[in-house]
Amino acid sequence: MAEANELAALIAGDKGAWDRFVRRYAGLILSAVRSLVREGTEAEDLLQEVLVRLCKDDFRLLKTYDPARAGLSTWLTIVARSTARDVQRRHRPPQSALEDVPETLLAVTDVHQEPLKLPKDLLSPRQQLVLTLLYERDLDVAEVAKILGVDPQTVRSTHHKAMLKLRGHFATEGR
Amino acid sequence: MSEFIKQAEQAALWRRWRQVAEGTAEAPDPTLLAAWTEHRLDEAAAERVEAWLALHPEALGDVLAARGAIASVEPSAAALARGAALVAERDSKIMPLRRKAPAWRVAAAWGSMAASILAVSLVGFELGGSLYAGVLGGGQAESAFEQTLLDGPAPIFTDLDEEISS
Repeated sequence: MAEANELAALIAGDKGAWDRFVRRYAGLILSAVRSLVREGTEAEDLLQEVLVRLCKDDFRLLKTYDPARAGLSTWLTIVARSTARDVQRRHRPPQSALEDVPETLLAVTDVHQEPLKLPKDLLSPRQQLVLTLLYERDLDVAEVAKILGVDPQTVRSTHHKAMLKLRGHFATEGR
Repeated sequence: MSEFIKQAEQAALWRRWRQVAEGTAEAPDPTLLAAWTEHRLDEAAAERVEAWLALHPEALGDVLAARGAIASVEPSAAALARGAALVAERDSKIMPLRRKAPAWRVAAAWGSMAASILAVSLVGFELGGSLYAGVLGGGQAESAFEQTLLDGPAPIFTDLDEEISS
Protein backbone atom coordinates (compact mmCIF):
# COMPACT_ATOMS: atom_id res chain seq x y z
CA MET A 1 0.00 0.00 0.00
CA ALA A 2 2.79 2.39 1.00
CA GLU A 3 4.62 1.42 -2.20
CA ALA A 4 1.53 2.21 -4.30
CA ASN A 5 1.26 5.62 -2.61
CA GLU A 6 4.93 6.28 -3.26
CA LEU A 7 4.51 5.41 -6.93
CA ALA A 8 1.43 7.62 -7.20
CA ALA A 9 3.38 10.51 -5.67
CA LEU A 10 6.30 9.84 -7.99
CA ILE A 11 4.11 9.84 -11.09
CA ALA A 12 2.46 13.04 -9.86
CA GLY A 13 5.90 14.66 -10.00
CA ASP A 14 7.02 14.52 -6.36
CA LYS A 15 10.81 14.99 -6.53
CA GLY A 16 11.32 13.42 -3.09
CA ALA A 17 9.38 10.31 -4.14
CA TRP A 18 11.59 9.96 -7.24
CA ASP A 19 14.75 10.29 -5.12
CA ARG A 20 13.50 7.63 -2.72
CA PHE A 21 12.60 5.36 -5.65
CA VAL A 22 16.09 5.71 -7.13
CA ARG A 23 17.78 5.08 -3.77
CA ARG A 24 15.65 2.01 -3.17
CA TYR A 25 15.78 0.38 -6.61
CA ALA A 26 19.10 1.50 -8.16
CA GLY A 27 20.86 -1.53 -6.67
CA LEU A 28 18.24 -3.92 -8.03
CA ILE A 29 18.43 -2.39 -11.52
CA LEU A 30 22.22 -2.43 -11.44
CA SER A 31 22.33 -6.10 -10.50
CA ALA A 32 19.73 -6.89 -13.20
CA VAL A 33 21.84 -5.33 -15.98
CA ARG A 34 25.26 -6.32 -14.63
CA SER A 35 25.01 -9.87 -15.97
CA LEU A 36 24.55 -8.44 -19.51
CA VAL A 37 27.74 -6.37 -19.52
CA ARG A 38 31.39 -6.91 -18.73
CA GLU A 39 32.53 -3.66 -17.18
CA GLY A 40 31.22 -1.76 -14.19
CA THR A 41 31.01 1.63 -15.90
CA GLU A 42 28.87 0.16 -18.67
CA ALA A 43 26.46 -1.18 -16.05
CA GLU A 44 26.22 2.29 -14.51
CA ASP A 45 25.50 3.80 -17.93
CA LEU A 46 22.76 1.23 -18.43
CA LEU A 47 21.31 2.08 -15.01
CA GLN A 48 21.12 5.68 -16.17
CA GLU A 49 19.38 4.60 -19.39
CA VAL A 50 16.83 2.55 -17.47
CA LEU A 51 16.03 5.45 -15.16
CA VAL A 52 15.68 7.80 -18.13
CA ARG A 53 13.36 5.33 -19.83
CA LEU A 54 11.23 5.05 -16.68
CA CYS A 55 10.64 8.77 -16.37
CA LYS A 56 10.53 9.55 -20.10
CA ASP A 57 7.33 11.09 -21.53
CA ASP A 58 5.90 11.88 -18.12
CA PHE A 59 6.57 8.40 -16.67
CA ARG A 60 4.75 6.70 -19.56
CA LEU A 61 6.39 3.30 -18.95
CA LEU A 62 6.09 3.45 -15.17
CA LYS A 63 2.38 4.20 -15.55
CA THR A 64 1.90 0.81 -17.26
CA TYR A 65 3.03 -1.00 -14.09
CA ASP A 66 0.12 -2.64 -12.32
CA PRO A 67 0.81 -3.64 -8.68
CA ALA A 68 -2.17 -6.01 -8.75
CA ARG A 69 -0.47 -8.13 -11.42
CA ALA A 70 3.17 -8.32 -10.35
CA GLY A 71 5.67 -7.15 -7.78
CA LEU A 72 7.64 -4.02 -8.60
CA SER A 73 11.01 -5.80 -8.23
CA THR A 74 10.02 -8.42 -10.80
CA TRP A 75 8.68 -5.82 -13.20
CA LEU A 76 11.72 -3.57 -12.82
CA THR A 77 14.14 -6.43 -13.43
CA ILE A 78 12.39 -7.31 -16.69
CA VAL A 79 12.21 -3.67 -17.82
CA ALA A 80 15.86 -3.08 -16.88
CA ARG A 81 17.20 -6.05 -18.81
CA SER A 82 15.02 -5.39 -21.84
CA THR A 83 16.14 -1.73 -21.89
CA ALA A 84 19.78 -2.79 -21.51
CA ARG A 85 19.50 -5.11 -24.51
CA ASP A 86 17.88 -2.37 -26.62
CA VAL A 87 20.75 -0.02 -25.74
CA GLN A 88 23.35 -2.66 -26.57
CA ARG A 89 21.68 -3.33 -29.93
CA ARG A 90 21.75 0.41 -30.73
CA HIS A 91 25.44 0.64 -29.89
CA ARG A 92 26.48 -2.38 -31.93
CA PRO A 93 28.87 -1.54 -34.78
CA PRO A 94 27.09 -1.16 -38.12
CA GLN A 95 26.98 -4.22 -40.34
CA SER A 96 28.27 -4.18 -43.92
CA ALA A 97 25.63 -3.85 -46.55
CA LEU A 98 25.12 -7.02 -48.56
CA GLU A 99 26.01 -5.30 -51.82
CA ASP A 100 29.38 -4.21 -50.36
CA VAL A 101 30.49 -7.79 -49.72
CA PRO A 102 32.41 -9.46 -52.57
CA GLU A 103 30.34 -12.14 -54.28
CA THR A 104 33.03 -14.77 -53.75
CA LEU A 105 32.55 -14.48 -50.00
CA LEU A 106 28.85 -15.06 -50.35
CA ALA A 107 29.17 -18.16 -52.47
CA VAL A 108 28.35 -21.08 -50.19
CA THR A 109 27.09 -24.54 -50.91
CA ASP A 110 23.69 -25.17 -49.42
CA VAL A 111 23.97 -28.55 -47.81
CA HIS A 112 21.21 -28.03 -45.25
CA GLN A 113 17.73 -28.96 -46.32
CA GLU A 114 14.97 -28.28 -43.78
CA PRO A 115 11.27 -27.89 -44.31
CA LEU A 116 10.21 -24.27 -44.32
CA LYS A 117 7.64 -24.68 -41.59
CA LEU A 118 6.63 -27.03 -38.82
CA PRO A 119 3.00 -27.87 -38.25
CA LYS A 120 1.72 -24.96 -36.24
CA ASP A 121 0.50 -26.96 -33.30
CA LEU A 122 3.13 -29.66 -33.25
CA LEU A 123 4.20 -28.70 -29.76
CA SER A 124 2.11 -26.85 -27.21
CA PRO A 125 3.57 -23.61 -25.81
CA ARG A 126 4.23 -25.37 -22.51
CA GLN A 127 6.06 -28.22 -24.28
CA GLN A 128 8.14 -25.72 -26.27
CA LEU A 129 9.04 -23.83 -23.13
CA VAL A 130 9.98 -26.97 -21.20
CA LEU A 131 12.33 -28.01 -24.02
CA THR A 132 13.83 -24.54 -24.25
CA LEU A 133 14.46 -24.38 -20.51
CA LEU A 134 15.96 -27.86 -20.45
CA TYR A 135 18.11 -27.71 -23.58
CA GLU A 136 18.78 -24.05 -24.30
CA ARG A 137 19.07 -22.75 -20.73
CA ASP A 138 20.45 -26.09 -19.57
CA LEU A 139 18.36 -26.13 -16.41
CA ASP A 140 17.51 -29.31 -14.55
CA VAL A 141 14.02 -30.69 -14.03
CA ALA A 142 13.66 -29.29 -10.50
CA GLU A 143 14.59 -25.78 -11.66
CA VAL A 144 12.16 -25.93 -14.57
CA ALA A 145 9.42 -27.17 -12.25
CA LYS A 146 10.04 -24.25 -9.90
CA ILE A 147 9.94 -21.69 -12.71
CA LEU A 148 6.71 -23.08 -14.10
CA GLY A 149 5.12 -23.64 -10.70
CA VAL A 150 4.50 -27.35 -11.31
CA ASP A 151 5.91 -30.55 -9.84
CA PRO A 152 8.99 -32.22 -11.39
CA GLN A 153 6.97 -35.23 -12.55
CA THR A 154 4.83 -32.92 -14.72
CA VAL A 155 7.99 -31.53 -16.31
CA ARG A 156 9.25 -35.06 -17.07
CA SER A 157 5.90 -36.03 -18.55
CA THR A 158 5.69 -32.84 -20.67
CA HIS A 159 9.22 -33.45 -21.94
CA HIS A 160 8.41 -37.07 -22.77
CA LYS A 161 5.26 -36.17 -24.76
CA ALA A 162 7.11 -33.41 -26.64
CA MET A 163 9.87 -35.83 -27.61
CA LEU A 164 7.34 -38.39 -28.87
CA LYS A 165 5.77 -35.73 -31.10
CA LEU A 166 9.16 -34.56 -32.45
CA ARG A 167 10.32 -38.12 -33.12
CA GLY A 168 7.07 -38.88 -34.87
CA HIS A 169 7.22 -35.71 -36.96
CA PHE A 170 10.84 -36.01 -38.09
CA ALA A 171 10.49 -39.76 -38.75
CA THR A 172 7.53 -39.12 -41.07
CA GLU A 173 9.38 -36.32 -42.78
CA GLY A 174 12.46 -38.49 -43.33
CA ARG A 175 10.54 -41.10 -45.28
CA MET B 1 11.51 -41.85 -9.11
CA SER B 2 13.64 -42.36 -12.20
CA GLU B 3 16.55 -39.97 -12.77
CA PHE B 4 16.05 -37.60 -15.68
CA ILE B 5 18.96 -37.71 -18.11
CA LYS B 6 19.17 -35.53 -21.19
CA GLN B 7 20.05 -37.82 -24.04
CA ALA B 8 22.02 -36.71 -27.07
CA GLU B 9 19.25 -37.90 -29.41
CA GLN B 10 16.67 -35.79 -27.56
CA ALA B 11 18.90 -32.71 -27.63
CA ALA B 12 19.39 -33.22 -31.36
CA LEU B 13 15.63 -33.44 -31.87
CA TRP B 14 15.18 -30.21 -29.95
CA ARG B 15 17.88 -28.43 -32.01
CA ARG B 16 16.23 -29.57 -35.21
CA TRP B 17 12.88 -28.27 -34.04
CA ARG B 18 14.48 -25.02 -32.86
CA GLN B 19 15.98 -24.31 -36.31
CA VAL B 20 12.64 -24.32 -38.03
CA ALA B 21 10.25 -23.28 -35.29
CA GLU B 22 8.49 -20.00 -35.94
CA GLY B 23 6.94 -17.69 -33.44
CA THR B 24 3.47 -16.43 -34.02
CA ALA B 25 2.69 -15.00 -30.61
CA GLU B 26 2.98 -11.26 -29.99
CA ALA B 27 5.65 -9.94 -27.66
CA PRO B 28 4.12 -9.57 -24.20
CA ASP B 29 4.57 -6.29 -22.33
CA PRO B 30 6.75 -6.21 -19.19
CA THR B 31 3.76 -6.39 -16.86
CA LEU B 32 2.53 -9.57 -18.54
CA LEU B 33 6.01 -11.11 -18.33
CA ALA B 34 6.30 -10.11 -14.67
CA ALA B 35 2.86 -11.58 -13.95
CA TRP B 36 3.87 -14.84 -15.68
CA THR B 37 7.07 -14.93 -13.61
CA GLU B 38 5.00 -14.73 -10.43
CA HIS B 39 2.47 -17.34 -11.67
CA ARG B 40 -0.35 -14.81 -11.66
CA LEU B 41 -1.76 -15.42 -15.14
CA ASP B 42 -4.66 -17.64 -16.12
CA GLU B 43 -3.95 -20.63 -18.32
CA ALA B 44 -4.73 -19.00 -21.66
CA ALA B 45 -2.67 -15.88 -20.97
CA ALA B 46 0.20 -17.97 -19.60
CA GLU B 47 0.14 -20.09 -22.76
CA ARG B 48 0.54 -17.05 -25.00
CA VAL B 49 3.49 -15.81 -22.94
CA GLU B 50 5.08 -19.28 -22.94
CA ALA B 51 4.74 -19.61 -26.72
CA TRP B 52 6.66 -16.37 -27.11
CA LEU B 53 9.22 -17.13 -24.40
CA ALA B 54 10.06 -20.50 -25.93
CA LEU B 55 11.38 -18.74 -29.02
CA HIS B 56 13.00 -15.77 -27.29
CA PRO B 57 15.75 -17.06 -25.03
CA GLU B 58 16.92 -13.54 -24.19
CA ALA B 59 13.54 -12.73 -22.67
CA LEU B 60 13.63 -16.07 -20.92
CA GLY B 61 16.87 -14.86 -19.33
CA ASP B 62 14.98 -11.79 -18.12
CA VAL B 63 12.30 -13.78 -16.33
CA LEU B 64 14.91 -16.07 -14.79
CA ALA B 65 16.76 -12.99 -13.51
CA ALA B 66 13.47 -11.60 -12.20
CA ARG B 67 12.91 -14.82 -10.30
CA GLY B 68 16.31 -14.25 -8.73
CA ALA B 69 15.21 -10.74 -7.77
CA ILE B 70 12.12 -12.15 -6.05
CA ALA B 71 14.30 -14.58 -4.15
CA SER B 72 16.58 -11.78 -2.99
CA VAL B 73 13.66 -9.56 -1.93
CA GLU B 74 11.86 -12.32 -0.05
CA PRO B 75 14.49 -14.37 1.75
CA SER B 76 13.57 -17.88 2.80
CA ALA B 77 12.83 -18.78 6.41
CA ALA B 78 16.09 -20.72 6.49
CA ALA B 79 18.04 -17.66 5.32
CA LEU B 80 16.36 -15.51 7.98
CA ALA B 81 17.19 -18.07 10.69
CA ARG B 82 20.79 -18.22 9.50
CA GLY B 83 20.97 -14.41 9.56
CA ALA B 84 19.63 -14.32 13.13
CA ALA B 85 22.17 -16.96 14.20
CA LEU B 86 25.02 -14.96 12.68
CA VAL B 87 23.92 -11.82 14.50
CA ALA B 88 23.69 -13.71 17.81
CA GLU B 89 27.12 -15.24 17.26
CA ARG B 90 28.63 -11.85 16.49
CA ASP B 91 27.01 -10.26 19.59
CA SER B 92 28.41 -12.96 21.88
CA LYS B 93 31.95 -12.21 20.70
CA ILE B 94 31.78 -8.51 21.35
CA MET B 95 32.78 -7.34 24.89
CA PRO B 96 30.78 -4.35 26.07
CA LEU B 97 32.90 -1.21 25.99
CA ARG B 98 33.46 0.69 29.28
CA ARG B 99 32.14 4.17 29.20
CA LYS B 100 34.87 6.79 29.21
CA ALA B 101 35.12 8.47 32.61
CA PRO B 102 34.59 12.23 32.73
CA ALA B 103 37.70 14.45 32.91
CA TRP B 104 37.02 15.68 36.46
CA ARG B 105 36.93 12.09 37.72
CA VAL B 106 40.28 11.28 36.10
CA ALA B 107 41.82 14.44 37.59
CA ALA B 108 40.43 13.61 41.05
CA ALA B 109 41.82 10.07 40.87
CA TRP B 110 45.32 11.29 39.92
CA GLY B 111 45.13 14.01 42.61
CA SER B 112 44.17 11.59 45.37
CA MET B 113 46.95 9.23 44.32
CA ALA B 114 49.53 12.07 44.46
CA ALA B 115 48.18 13.17 47.87
CA SER B 116 48.49 9.61 49.22
CA ILE B 117 52.12 9.36 48.04
CA LEU B 118 52.91 12.73 49.61
CA ALA B 119 51.28 11.77 52.91
CA VAL B 120 53.17 8.45 53.09
CA SER B 121 56.45 10.26 52.30
CA LEU B 122 55.89 12.86 54.99
CA VAL B 123 54.96 10.32 57.66
CA GLY B 124 57.95 8.13 56.76
CA PHE B 125 60.30 11.12 56.82
CA GLU B 126 58.95 12.20 60.17
CA LEU B 127 59.34 8.75 61.71
CA GLY B 128 62.85 8.36 60.33
CA GLY B 129 63.83 11.80 61.62
CA SER B 130 62.52 11.04 65.17
CA LEU B 131 64.46 7.80 65.36
CA TYR B 132 67.68 9.45 64.17
CA ALA B 133 67.27 12.29 66.70
CA GLY B 134 66.72 9.72 69.45
CA VAL B 135 69.94 7.89 68.57
CA LEU B 136 72.14 10.99 68.34
CA GLY B 137 70.57 13.20 71.00
CA GLY B 138 69.80 10.74 73.84
CA GLY B 139 73.30 9.19 74.06
CA GLN B 140 71.92 6.43 76.25
CA ALA B 141 69.53 3.77 75.34
CA GLU B 142 66.25 3.99 77.04
CA SER B 143 65.98 0.28 77.48
CA ALA B 144 68.25 -2.64 77.74
CA PHE B 145 67.08 -3.91 74.43
CA GLU B 146 67.89 -0.65 72.64
CA GLN B 147 71.26 -0.60 74.39
CA THR B 148 72.00 -4.05 73.10
CA LEU B 149 71.11 -3.01 69.60
CA LEU B 150 73.28 0.10 69.76
CA ASP B 151 76.30 -1.68 71.32
CA GLY B 152 76.87 -3.93 68.42
CA PRO B 153 78.27 -7.44 68.61
CA ALA B 154 80.28 -8.38 71.66
CA PRO B 155 83.89 -9.48 71.01
CA ILE B 156 83.97 -13.25 70.78
CA PHE B 157 87.56 -13.81 71.92
CA THR B 158 87.64 -11.43 74.88
CA ASP B 159 87.77 -14.22 77.36
CA LEU B 160 90.29 -16.11 75.23
CA ASP B 161 92.67 -13.10 75.15
CA GLU B 162 92.41 -12.75 78.86
CA GLU B 163 93.17 -16.40 79.23
CA ILE B 164 96.22 -16.22 76.94
CA SER B 165 97.58 -13.11 78.57
CA SER B 166 97.15 -14.66 81.91
